[in-house]
Amino acid sequence: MAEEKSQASSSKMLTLKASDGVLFEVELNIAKEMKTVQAYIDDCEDIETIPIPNVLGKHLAIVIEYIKKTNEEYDAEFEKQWNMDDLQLLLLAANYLNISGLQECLCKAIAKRIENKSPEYVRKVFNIENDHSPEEEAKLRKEYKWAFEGVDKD
Amino acid sequence: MKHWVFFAASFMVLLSGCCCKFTKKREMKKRDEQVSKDEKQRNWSKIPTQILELILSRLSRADFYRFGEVCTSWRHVFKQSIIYRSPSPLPSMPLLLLYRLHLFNDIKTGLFSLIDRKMYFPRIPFFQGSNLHCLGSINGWLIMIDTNATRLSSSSSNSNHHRFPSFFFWNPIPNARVMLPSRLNIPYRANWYKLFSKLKASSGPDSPDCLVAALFTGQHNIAFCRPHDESWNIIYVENNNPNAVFADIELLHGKCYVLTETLNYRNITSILVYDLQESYSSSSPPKAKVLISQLHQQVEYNSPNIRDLIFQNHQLFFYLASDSISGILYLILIIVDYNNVHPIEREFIVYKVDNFNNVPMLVRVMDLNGGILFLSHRDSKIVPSSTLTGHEDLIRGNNIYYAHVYPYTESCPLMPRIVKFCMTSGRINHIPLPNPELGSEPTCLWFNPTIW
Repeated sequence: MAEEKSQASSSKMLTLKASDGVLFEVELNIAKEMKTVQAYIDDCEDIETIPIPNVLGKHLAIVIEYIKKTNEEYDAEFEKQWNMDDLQLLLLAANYLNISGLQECLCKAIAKRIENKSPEYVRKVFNIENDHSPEEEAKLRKEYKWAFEGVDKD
Repeated sequence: MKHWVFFAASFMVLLSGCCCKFTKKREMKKRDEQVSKDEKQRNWSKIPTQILELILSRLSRADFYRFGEVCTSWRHVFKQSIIYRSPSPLPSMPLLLLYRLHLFNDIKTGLFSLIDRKMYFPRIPFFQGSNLHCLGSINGWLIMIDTNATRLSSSSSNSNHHRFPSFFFWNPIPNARVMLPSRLNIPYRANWYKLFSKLKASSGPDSPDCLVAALFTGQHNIAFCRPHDESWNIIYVENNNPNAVFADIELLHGKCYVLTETLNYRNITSILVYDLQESYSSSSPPKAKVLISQLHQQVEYNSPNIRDLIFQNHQLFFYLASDSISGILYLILIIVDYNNVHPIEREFIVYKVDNFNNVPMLVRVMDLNGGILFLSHRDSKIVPSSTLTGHEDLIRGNNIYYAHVYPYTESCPLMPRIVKFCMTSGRINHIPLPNPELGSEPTCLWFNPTIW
């Protein structure tokens, strides 16, 4: 439960409640990195528990840890630990909570997975169905064929 | 009787067992389905547009196009970014544009990619017809001449039509053109496309400061203009000194730098500078200022080994290049060995113009400030390596990619050569081109197509 540890506002604690009910106690300055939370606090000053309805406890924990530990080295290794599903949920969480650093870090990681790969490979990895009509697909391919340089083997 | 009961009982047990199992199985299957539904891998086609745009902005040009091919929702985001010109992809390595390739007697334009070392042919050839020639490129634009454009000569005393070419910027992707003045105020020529040996632009025509400067082949003068001028301005060399042939030009920050050389032996003599921007604002023709004179003394040109080389069937090539971000002007000297079947580049020596006690001087440098120089006879561009994405070896800074078509000799057919010179290690690596047959007078230049 929320407790106020000391009078200094920098160590004021805030409680975040994930969608599955898991509670997280975080320092105010950590929570402020989430611009969505910041806006919430700005609106209602005395709030102690902030609901985060879109994010599971599992991912909120990861997000909070990211904010605490983020630096160049940490960021470089961060995305390697998660599978595609978690990556997506973390990205959606970062987007909802409006944490620019985490969004950048994850988008960079996704871009790296797309880099130099064929559309077929991307569909496989990202579990996407090809819903282009064959004519559309052929058209797009022909139009930009000369730009399809440098594709890695799948 | 007992047996029957026993049998029936066991049968019933068996049956109920089966039933139990059956329903249990069904329940488990249901649960499994539910579990597997939850656990089924998440689909990335329904990601919010904002996120897809962030991802797009981190892709290179080729990946940007491939992104649009994945599915219809990704394609929609891709198309929107083309329409709104945002987000843009990360800067990419330029391609080598080779034109006048003759494949099965078909004039084609080929694009050679350094990334996968393959030759690509745009579906709609960039050039159709022998009247179009490419004289230079800047950013995503090609600077073209159309020798077929006919204009009546202004003096109606001549009944003949004089063919004057039209010059324009052309972006092949959106098929956009920006015309340059066609009035040249010089006498008629038979081979217009040979008129300029160099044609450089300071930026794309969409920039308000766009300046274009051209070096006349064989003559000692240059022409310059801006896209909306009425005519080109021609600078005639003040004292037609045969020892001051204009060898190369480079635009930097509104000024045109000219490298001069002697007619014989091609000794470089000086770097002149014309302030074009100042000339426009003061409406008076620009005057040449000597930036550095007696270049041959400042270049290691006079050192014994280089002098010997010249007498041993080597040739020297000089190019000007500039980095508009840092404002540095470079002079590149390439020593080419002609003793073998085909010319081999032996050494690259790079100088920069530096101010020493307020006197401009040439200083030899071993780096390009982290930039990569793409050099050809037609153009030179320095790209900061930090803006590029891709394989480490490819985008490492302080490298020079030099592409050149050496003049025809009996033993060596017309073929462009690409070499990569690493300034830090001094190594020169030849990059083989897939071997197309080339037509007459092929041209190669570095071209970085935009996506809009």
